[in-house]
Amino acid sequence: MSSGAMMDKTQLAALARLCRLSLDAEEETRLARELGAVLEAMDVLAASDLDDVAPLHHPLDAVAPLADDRAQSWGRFREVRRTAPSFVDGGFQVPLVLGEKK
Amino acid sequence: MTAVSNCRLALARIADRDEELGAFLTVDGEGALSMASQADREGGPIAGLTVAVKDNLVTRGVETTCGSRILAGYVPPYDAEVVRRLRVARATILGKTNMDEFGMGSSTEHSGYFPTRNPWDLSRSPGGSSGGSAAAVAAGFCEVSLGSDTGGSVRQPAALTGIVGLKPTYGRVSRSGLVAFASSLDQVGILARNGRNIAKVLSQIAGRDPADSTSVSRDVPDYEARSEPGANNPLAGIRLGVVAHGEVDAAVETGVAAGLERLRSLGASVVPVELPHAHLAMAAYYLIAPAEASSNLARFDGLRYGVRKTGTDLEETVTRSRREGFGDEVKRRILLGTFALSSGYYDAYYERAQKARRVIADDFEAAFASCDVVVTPTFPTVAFTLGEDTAPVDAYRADRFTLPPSLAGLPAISIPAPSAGPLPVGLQLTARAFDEATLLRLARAFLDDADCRLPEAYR
Repeated sequence: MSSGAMMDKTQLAALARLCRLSLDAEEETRLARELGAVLEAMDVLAASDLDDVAPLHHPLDAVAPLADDRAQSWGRFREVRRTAPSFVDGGFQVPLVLGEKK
Repeated sequence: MTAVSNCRLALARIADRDEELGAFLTVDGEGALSMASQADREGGPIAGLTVAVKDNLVTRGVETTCGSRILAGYVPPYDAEVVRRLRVARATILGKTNMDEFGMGSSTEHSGYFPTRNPWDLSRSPGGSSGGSAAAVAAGFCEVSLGSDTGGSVRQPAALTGIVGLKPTYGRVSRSGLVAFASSLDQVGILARNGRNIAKVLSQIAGRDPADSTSVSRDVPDYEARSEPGANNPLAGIRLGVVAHGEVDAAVETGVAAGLERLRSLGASVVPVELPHAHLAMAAYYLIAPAEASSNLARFDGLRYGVRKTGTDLEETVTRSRREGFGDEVKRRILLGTFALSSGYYDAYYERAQKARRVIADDFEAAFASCDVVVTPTFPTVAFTLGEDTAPVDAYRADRFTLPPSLAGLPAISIPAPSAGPLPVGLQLTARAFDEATLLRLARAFLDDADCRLPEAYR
């Protein structure tokens, strides 16, 4: 997408689906305008001489070490259950993933 | 004064004045008094120091919302590592402070609950996203607060409320239990009215944590001792690299000039330096941070914790929960981040932003060949009025001073510059990686190792 003043609404709807957000008509119009303006400001990156630069993913250019592979008991399951919206028979109860919608 | 009486005083002050300020989301009086009692019995490195904690740091048994409606009523089953270390050091944790939702914002107006007000002028913002933490310290409700700083969220509110705010080097302090916004940028920061208290707290919370693989295995010095300013010419030998900062408010221009003059009078020398790629920082940050946030906030789906809005099936439940739970700024950044990471755009946006990040970091390295600390304003304006209708892209542009040190992972501190007007102005100092001691020495010398002044209405 080339940055213009507005983000394409079809693209915006596709992005919303990817990140599990639903937008009403007013939000779509507003966000298309706002995100379009932000992406226009990003054009400065395309215009800069960065092709031969290595990306910097970790700010100190370091590799984070892995933790020891040890099983541990955490022991706070009761507290975790209490914060769940619905907890039944040892599991988080959620609506159907597959099957007929009710 | 005992820890308990210090605590009671703080709680009374909060009860009396916080309704107008809105610094706190949760005040844990019972928990605080219990900690204070223990501090009086057992002592400790920071025994009885009153601390407020930003609401994106989990606290076991105490509601933690990240300023979001999607976590209304969520009570974590564990403490953030920095909170655990504060408890071990016998600090008194008073409660949880208000913030822009999930750290996204620079005004605390994006809190899902209410905006916090600036104690210098209640019609103005204290900045954000750690606005509650800054306001609590600036109004004298607590001696220290913890915030988080991803692109400036400790430094900018410190500047707008006239206090000191430190963002440590990336990896200096554990992020375990800091609800993630952007994992390659987030750092727990510290706010206080004097540099000495920041030094004391940093010594307690810094250091390797096995639960955070990005926390570094590096000795934690006694920052209070290492930042002792000394009597005569306390900043002799320190070279300040001043960057041309472009257009800022007249009050900021005056304040920065006066601040530099003050630092010179304490023995520091001044040299001009350049950060030639700083103009790329806004674009780089507002691609990298939202991209990381879009991944980190995927966990908020109403299924295992937080608020659930039930739909006809799983997908609708997740979508409804997020739609109704998240505010506008969070949605905006999640969408932006999803775009930056999506197929066909990843290389042109996210990867290119990481390249810009490299050259920005390289600029600092080059500057440190001729200076020890880079100096800029913290923010281009004084505190702005609440409710201003600012376009998101313009709000993002205002972060231009705080973003480069964030992208480079460097430690940076905001100190209150001499202000000609009624509102505070901040001066930002950025040092080499892990040189927090120099920043704290500068802050302490600058303030004569004393407290920043309180706003008249809170004296």
